[in-house]
Amino acid sequence: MSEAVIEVENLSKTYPDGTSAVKGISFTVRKGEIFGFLGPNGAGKTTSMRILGTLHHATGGSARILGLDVNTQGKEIRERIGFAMQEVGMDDLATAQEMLTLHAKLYGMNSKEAKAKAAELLSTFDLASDAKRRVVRFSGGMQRRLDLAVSLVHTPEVLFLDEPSTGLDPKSRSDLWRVLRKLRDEEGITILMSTHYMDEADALCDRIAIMNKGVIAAIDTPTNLKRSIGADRVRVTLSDGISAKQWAALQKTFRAGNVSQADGHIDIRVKDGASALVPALRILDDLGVQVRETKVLTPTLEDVFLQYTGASFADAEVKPADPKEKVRLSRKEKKAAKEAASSAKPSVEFSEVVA
Amino acid sequence: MGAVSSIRTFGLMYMRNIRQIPRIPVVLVFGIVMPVIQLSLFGNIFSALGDSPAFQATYPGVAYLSYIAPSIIMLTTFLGMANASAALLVDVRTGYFDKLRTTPAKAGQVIVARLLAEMTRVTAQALIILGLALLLGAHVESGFLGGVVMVLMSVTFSACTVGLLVTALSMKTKSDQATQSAFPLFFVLIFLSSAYVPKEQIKNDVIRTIIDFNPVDYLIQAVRELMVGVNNGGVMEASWPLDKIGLVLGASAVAAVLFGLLNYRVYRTSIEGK
Ligand SMILES: Nc1ncnc2c1ncn2[C@@H]1O[C@H](COP(=O)(O)OP(=O)(O)OP(=O)(O)O)[C@@H](O)[C@H]1O
Ligand SMILES: [Mg+2]
Repeated sequence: MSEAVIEVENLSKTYPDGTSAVKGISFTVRKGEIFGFLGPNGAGKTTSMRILGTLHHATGGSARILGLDVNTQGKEIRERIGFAMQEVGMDDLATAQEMLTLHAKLYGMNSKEAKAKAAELLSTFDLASDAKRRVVRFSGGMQRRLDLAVSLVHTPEVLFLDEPSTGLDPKSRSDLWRVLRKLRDEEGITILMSTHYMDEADALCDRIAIMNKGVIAAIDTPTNLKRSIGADRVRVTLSDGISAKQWAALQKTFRAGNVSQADGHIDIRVKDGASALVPALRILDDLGVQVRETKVLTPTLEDVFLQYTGASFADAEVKPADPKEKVRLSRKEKKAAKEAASSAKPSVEFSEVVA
Repeated sequence: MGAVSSIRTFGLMYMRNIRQIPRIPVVLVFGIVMPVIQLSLFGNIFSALGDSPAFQATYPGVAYLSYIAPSIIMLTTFLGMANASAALLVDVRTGYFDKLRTTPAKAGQVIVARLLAEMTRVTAQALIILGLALLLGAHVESGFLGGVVMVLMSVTFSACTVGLLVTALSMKTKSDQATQSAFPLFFVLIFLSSAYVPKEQIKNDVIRTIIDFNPVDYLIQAVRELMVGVNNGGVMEASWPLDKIGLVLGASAVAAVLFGLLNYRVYRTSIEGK
């Protein structure tokens, strides 16, 4: 395992007005990781990141960045990290180029190096043609991109990004992902970022901490997190109904808690949807159940998020102890089911999973 | 790192501020509108005051314009330093001040570089006003050097008092309006002094007592003495009141320390949230 770059132990923060924003969080981020903070508004993501970026003081616990103490070695840390805050910090009176060169020089570059770095970043973030415009006239997304570029002038070893893709259009967002992956892969930069986009966290982050009300509710890789909240389901939409006898046989085969039926389909909880699909279909066929459509449902990061942040998905969990309980579905599942029902290509997910 | 990089950071921030001064033209223009109006109007409207026997007994041969020119220079530097909050507030409100906090630049460097850039601007504005006064017929008894010292003293005192106070206020309130609401206070100090009328000619005992206790009056006395000289047996003679100049610089230093500490406290509580 590579070295620990961010080490957080029992960190807490109570603001002067009494708000307890962070209540003892602990985690470690290793070199070259992209680590994500997910959590509802007010969970304490920004507060935690600002403490780690030495912009706020912790009121309890300890944290080290690159082996340096955040409470006492702020200046040393700031020389080696980059920080793009949730609210962009634009020098309204400057041009994009002026901002970048000033920041490059603040980190010790001479004029020539600073100019070259500015030009490089302007083109990376697609701002080259706006280099000489005053940033106050930039659109929100352009300001966001410039803010990110400014945070990168000195090629920091650790990068803190608080909701970096908020306000970016889809192209800029995928460009950002590409830049961040490149930084990780080629420069070995460690990234701690927060986001409200599940797809972003899923696609970009090596590990995720789900924060809620000032504590970390879960922390793991996206894959493990999804696995942790429950099994895959094979969803079978029926051509006709199902007889009581067939249903009893199904319950016997898969065990009562693992099968449920609603709205003309049957859900079977399985460990691994991809490998269970074909055997499941064979069993149904043997029982003479007419199948119109099949689908494998795997938990999404959104399900994980809702589960750990106390939203409705927790209520919808099938409780194996009570087989008669009607399965309630989360919004996402309902949507998925509806889409599947109306989809012209009903087995896209099926083929994906099997492949 | 160390001293060299500190000075370098400071220089970078100072130059950035200087470059941006012309980009807030409002501050540049409004900073001298009032003084220009006062110079051209008061010099004419109240010139009779300067011809009165009482005035001439104290300041023989001095034109009223020369008498008020130092006061108007002070008004310029007070007004100018009060506006030092404008650019700082732009940075605070846009979040750029926070962005700078993520860099190795220290808050102290950023704030002092800001104040020095504002002092540069105010010096230029005050020199314009002095030049205009000379054009209109005022006369600096202590010569060119005296004129420069007048301006620098006035700028230094204003920066250490008004400048540091508005800086603290901007960081505390993060609002233009709240900061500007303190401006009238500064100007009352100028008006409750011998700035426009010699103390000897003010009849009200209460106001005379207030003037005696008004620190700004000591600055005005020093600056005015450089401008019009001292009355030596009915003739005005050039004078370098080193004691008064020393007093003003000493007071500026004390204010700088006190208000500097105030800024440090405000920074820690309002910006760092400690
Ligand atoms: N300066 C402050 N003073 C007092 N309370 C604060 C301050 N900043 C944040 N808080 C409070 O701390 C808690 C956590 O806020 P924080 O900004 O860290 O949340 P977040 O997870 O970043 O939320 P979001 O997703 O909305 O950005 C909230 O209850 C918030 O009201
Ligand atoms: Mg936040």
